[in-house]
Amino acid sequence: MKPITIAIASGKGGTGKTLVATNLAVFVARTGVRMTLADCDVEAPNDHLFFDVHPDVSVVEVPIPEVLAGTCPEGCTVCRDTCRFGAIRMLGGGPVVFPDLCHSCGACVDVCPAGMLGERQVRVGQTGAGVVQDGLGLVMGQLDVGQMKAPTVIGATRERAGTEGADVVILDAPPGVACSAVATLHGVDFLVLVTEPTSFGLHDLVLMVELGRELKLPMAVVLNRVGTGVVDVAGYCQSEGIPIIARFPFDREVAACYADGGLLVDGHRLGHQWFSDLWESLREQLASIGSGVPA
Amino acid sequence: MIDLETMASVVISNDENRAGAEGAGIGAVELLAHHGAQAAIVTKVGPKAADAFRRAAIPVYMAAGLTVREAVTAFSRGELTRLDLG
Repeated sequence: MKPITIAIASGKGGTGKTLVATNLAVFVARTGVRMTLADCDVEAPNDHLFFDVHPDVSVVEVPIPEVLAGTCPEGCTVCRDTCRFGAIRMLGGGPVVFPDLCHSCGACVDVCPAGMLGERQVRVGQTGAGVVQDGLGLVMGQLDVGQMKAPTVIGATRERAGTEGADVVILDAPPGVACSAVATLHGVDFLVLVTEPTSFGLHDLVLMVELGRELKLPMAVVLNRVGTGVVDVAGYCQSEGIPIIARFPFDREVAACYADGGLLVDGHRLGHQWFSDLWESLREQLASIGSGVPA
Repeated sequence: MIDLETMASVVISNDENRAGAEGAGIGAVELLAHHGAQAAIVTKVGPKAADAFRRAAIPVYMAAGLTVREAVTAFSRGELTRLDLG
């Protein structure tokens, strides 16, 4: 059966995506639900810091065109003209491929009338998977240094998370609303937006809500660090009809626990209750959209 | 582009490349190559454009803080530094 997929995202970085994703995943796994947590922040994955993990690693590769030995037809620019991404340019009398711009669509290879283009596999990152604790599966995506194809690695991470036999998959999304966020969020069943009551927190939440609407996703907000600012996030959420399903305080003990690599569900006196309440609220949200979670 | 013998200049629009999200530099180099540029004078050059210049076999010279006329004159006298594009 296809798992229910919940993305934990935020426009602004550092609002608490990973805090919410890791603790929620562990809490839910302990209730007996088959759970996989997938770290889709492939440019800076850090979910694994909270677990003892020995991942099974697989390589993520993309096909990149290469010009084969031989001679192109005189004046031919078909491959260059076909590429929507400007990744092939006519330089020095023939086509030159710029791999960073290539989206691996294969169109250039298909249209070449002279069979002058082949493809080679280029490594762009890796995924890792392992069971960490309480039956919780952890899948991690990691983009290689110097590579630009984060969405490709995110796609591979999501695909792998979907094959781990889970009932529920939690995706820890990268910050922002650009390609990496879209790659993580499209097609998920529910979107949890983590924000904080600061100007930046609200500003980027608004962008995120716009993206969520564009992707037609049901969503709810977790308001983190309540007390660190006085911006009226609740007023915005109310006017937009988006429920706030949890409020976590700005709390030194949370920061201390987190900085120590600990989980709030184990290392904070209120952690278990917070995530129990959050999961209960989230289950109600999922039930209301017809995505019931097995008990 | 400037013809060194006559000092006649022609302006080529790079609008098509500027409109793209990425690849403006290499697109500009491709345009220059298409129009037969034999050398380029730049204030700076990005890594992809540098690669494109190298593949197009167009030598690149550095000129900062000069007017176009001053830069071209300096180039003609062999006073500009050629960039090593690797």
